[in-house]
Amino acid sequence: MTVLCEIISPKSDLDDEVLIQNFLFSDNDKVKKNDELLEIETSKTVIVLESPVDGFVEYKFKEGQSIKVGAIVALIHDSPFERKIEINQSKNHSESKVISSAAEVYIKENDIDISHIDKKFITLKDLIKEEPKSVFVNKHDEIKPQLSSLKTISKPIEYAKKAEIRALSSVNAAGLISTFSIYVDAIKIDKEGGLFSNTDNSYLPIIVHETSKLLENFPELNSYYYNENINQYLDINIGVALDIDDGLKVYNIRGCNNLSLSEIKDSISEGVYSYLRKSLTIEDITESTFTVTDLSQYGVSHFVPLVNNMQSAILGVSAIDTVLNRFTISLSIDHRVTEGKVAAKFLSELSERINSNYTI
Amino acid sequence: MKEDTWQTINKIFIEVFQDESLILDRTTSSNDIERWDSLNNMHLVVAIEKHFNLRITLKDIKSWENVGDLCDWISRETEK
Repeated sequence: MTVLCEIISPKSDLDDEVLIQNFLFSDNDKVKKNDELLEIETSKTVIVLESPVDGFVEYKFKEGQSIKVGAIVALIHDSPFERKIEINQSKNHSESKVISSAAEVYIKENDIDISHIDKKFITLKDLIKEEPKSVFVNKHDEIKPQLSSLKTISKPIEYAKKAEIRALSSVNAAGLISTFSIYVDAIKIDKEGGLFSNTDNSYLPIIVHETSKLLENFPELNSYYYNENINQYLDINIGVALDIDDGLKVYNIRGCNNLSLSEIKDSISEGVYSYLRKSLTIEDITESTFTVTDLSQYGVSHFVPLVNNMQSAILGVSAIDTVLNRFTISLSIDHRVTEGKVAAKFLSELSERINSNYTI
Repeated sequence: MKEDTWQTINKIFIEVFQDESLILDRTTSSNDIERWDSLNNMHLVVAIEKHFNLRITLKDIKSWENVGDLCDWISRETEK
């Protein structure tokens, strides 16, 4: 039996850990090249890992388990694998059983007696059936007393949200974040015509375009703080926060400062289409160096965006005040990297660029 | 253009815009439907892709002037 290849949890600049959401085969199943093996959930999306070769799959962890990025999550063997192990001799006697890797981990963690399972080959599914009080029990909507004397409904935070909190906390918990805002006069949008012409009314491409150009002069806003160092990105990759009906995801427009307005507009459209098709890839949502979040469609007049992990600034776009014919843009910055004067200058120049390059 | 394509497109528009009274003709465009914003645009395209099992590119989208062009495009693509 030979290991043909290792399936590795993909690296992400947002997460140290990812969650194994679902296995699409069982241990020892025959798989073909490009078969989808398992689903992994990051803080921003679900990624499907495929088999690069034909063979027999062996999962190294279990569903629902958090694992480090870069870990080997599965092996592809050239033939069915067998591994005899002895687990908890006192409970399981000396009888040898063939146990899948995922089942082995589960048995050890939960100290399960498998002696009564009348099967020579034991998989995770056999154990979960045997042990209903497993870690997979759904605790949603459980009512229990909290620190307050009032009763509450406690719902566990989903994995993606936990990862998002960790990522945001790493910068914002330092308590060195400030937000600055400025008004920008509303501008006219040039419409391209065609079937969808009347829907062509978002400022977002213009703001992303002008921001990316301006960041060339404000490298401290395209940087991040780590371990008493300021690390300045050489590329300008603007992440556009999308939150439609499948959770918050930040779509990355790479090399944004080298793109035309039209290319940025198309890139944002492609990002939204991929979001709605649920086909965003790990490349689509990682390695952004600055973020723009647009809540204008929700009518908010002003908000304080939170700086993302491995970044020093984020720009928020609010809705147009139709009476005063202007809208607010807000910049949150990490004071460990830059300072208020820089943020104020950036916003002032951005407002100036928008109002001088487009018709008011 | 097939009659059933036209009827299906009508149904998709009604679902996306949540408006049972919506009546399309070949010249209808986003100028004619109040709720037709950029987000509904995207929902519309993805719903059409899903229903007809097609992949629509930005180039395709930019080539349509009205609903008639969209339906003609679908008919051509589904007959391939």
